Amino acid sequence: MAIMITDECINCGACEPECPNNAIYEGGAEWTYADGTSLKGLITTLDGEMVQADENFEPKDMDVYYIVPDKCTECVGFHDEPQCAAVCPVDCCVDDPEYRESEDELLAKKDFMHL
Amino acid sequence: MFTALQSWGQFDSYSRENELAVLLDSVRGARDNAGKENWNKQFKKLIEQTLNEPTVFDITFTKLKTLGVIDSPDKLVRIVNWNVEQDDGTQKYYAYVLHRNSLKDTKHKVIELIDKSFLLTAKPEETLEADMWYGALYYQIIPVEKANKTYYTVLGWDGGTRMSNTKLIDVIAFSGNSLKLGYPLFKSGTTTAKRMFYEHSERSVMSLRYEPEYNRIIFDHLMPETPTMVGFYEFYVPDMSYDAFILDNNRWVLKEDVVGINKKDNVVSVASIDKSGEVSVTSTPSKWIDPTGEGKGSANDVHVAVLPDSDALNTTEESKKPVKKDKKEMTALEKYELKKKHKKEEEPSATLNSGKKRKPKK
Ligand code: SF4
Ligand code: SF4
Repeated sequence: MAIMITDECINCGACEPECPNNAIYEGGAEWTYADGTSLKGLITTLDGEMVQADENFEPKDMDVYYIVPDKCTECVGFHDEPQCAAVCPVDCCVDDPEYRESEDELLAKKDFMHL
Repeated sequence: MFTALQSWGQFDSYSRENELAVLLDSVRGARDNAGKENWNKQFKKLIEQTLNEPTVFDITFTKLKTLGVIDSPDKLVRIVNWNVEQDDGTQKYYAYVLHRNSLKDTKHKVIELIDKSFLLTAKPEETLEADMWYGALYYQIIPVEKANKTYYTVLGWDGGTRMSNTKLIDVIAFSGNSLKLGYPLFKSGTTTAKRMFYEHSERSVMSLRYEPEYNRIIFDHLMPETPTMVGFYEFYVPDMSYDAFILDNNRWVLKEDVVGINKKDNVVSVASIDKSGEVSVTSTPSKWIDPTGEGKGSANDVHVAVLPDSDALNTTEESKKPVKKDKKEMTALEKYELKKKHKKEEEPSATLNSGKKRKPKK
């Protein structure tokens, strides 16, 4: 399951540089698959969608930091625990019940983003 | 680029630099704000055209001495930056950031940073867009790699007001076609900041520099001149101790009270502008030379205060005698004692001539 940020976020930004997948964005900032990954050019996502890696997608939150579930691997493949949750001073990085994935799925997601 | 080729034919960086140098000198030499603005407009137009040339990364701009041109070590980012001092002593800043994805990339992006300091707080903490810039002169770029993305840490200076100057550390990151200023890379204890400002008294000089050999940004620790000045940054001065941001796990982590180490054979460059607007740069070794150190000309000099009767002393019989060898080795104190002794010996004649002690004539 991916991690999500609740609206208790105080916008301190501590989590953003910790994410090994560049899955965390500031509220209002557009996100891309290419940011912080090795994805380039035309890619097929794990859902079978064809997109340009550097295509800008709408921000998922306008006010506080947000996590892109398609990029979050719960840190699997990099760290023992979710790094964002570990640094958040107000403990607002929590499990996202809408995105439940097995360890294998998370590892596949990691491999898809980092060749 | 197309317009440049049309009006210039083959792009000639040599003559373009000359032309730009004339315009920039005119900005520097203009008498008032209106004149500066007028010349700067023309300079800005031409430099913007130049920066769009495909070969711009190879142009050295050495003829433009008052234009800041800095390159990132990976040669993918170049910042072209200048300031125009206003009549009231404040500064207006101009900057273009050039970015290419690889050294082979023939198309680079030119992003203008637009000084909107009047719309921002004095020390903005948020992520900023290129068209919402606080204005500064950048002097170094330090890339920090993280997850296939490069965050360019920049060191800068802002002349601020007549009372204070500011040194700053910021981060420039590129995402698609846009540029963002500020990224939470600066950790001090449990807090994280997107950029750092160090405002200090205009009368003091604050050092903020990158030391690649220690992977750190070292800087003077600032303190208010007196405890009552806390929070009044125009009265903050270096207190001779150093702090540093040390690169740790792709972030800058603050460490206080680090030991500063001087570089060997460091050279300081001093630039000065004469009345004609000509800029000259002189280099001098940044070494402290102890004037009384061994082997220096003045090492054996002993300075003795000249007393009012020194001349009289020189004319006494004693002083005309050849000086004995061991007298050369006299210390300052011994010399002084000797003078006192001479003075005492001369005193009787002096008293005889003195009107006060003379007996009244009968
Ligand atoms: S759990 Fe890890 S991968 Fe997911 S957002 Fe947080 S830091 Fe990034
Ligand atoms: S660390 Fe927590 S509070 Fe800070 S920006 Fe991230 S989610 Fe928000």
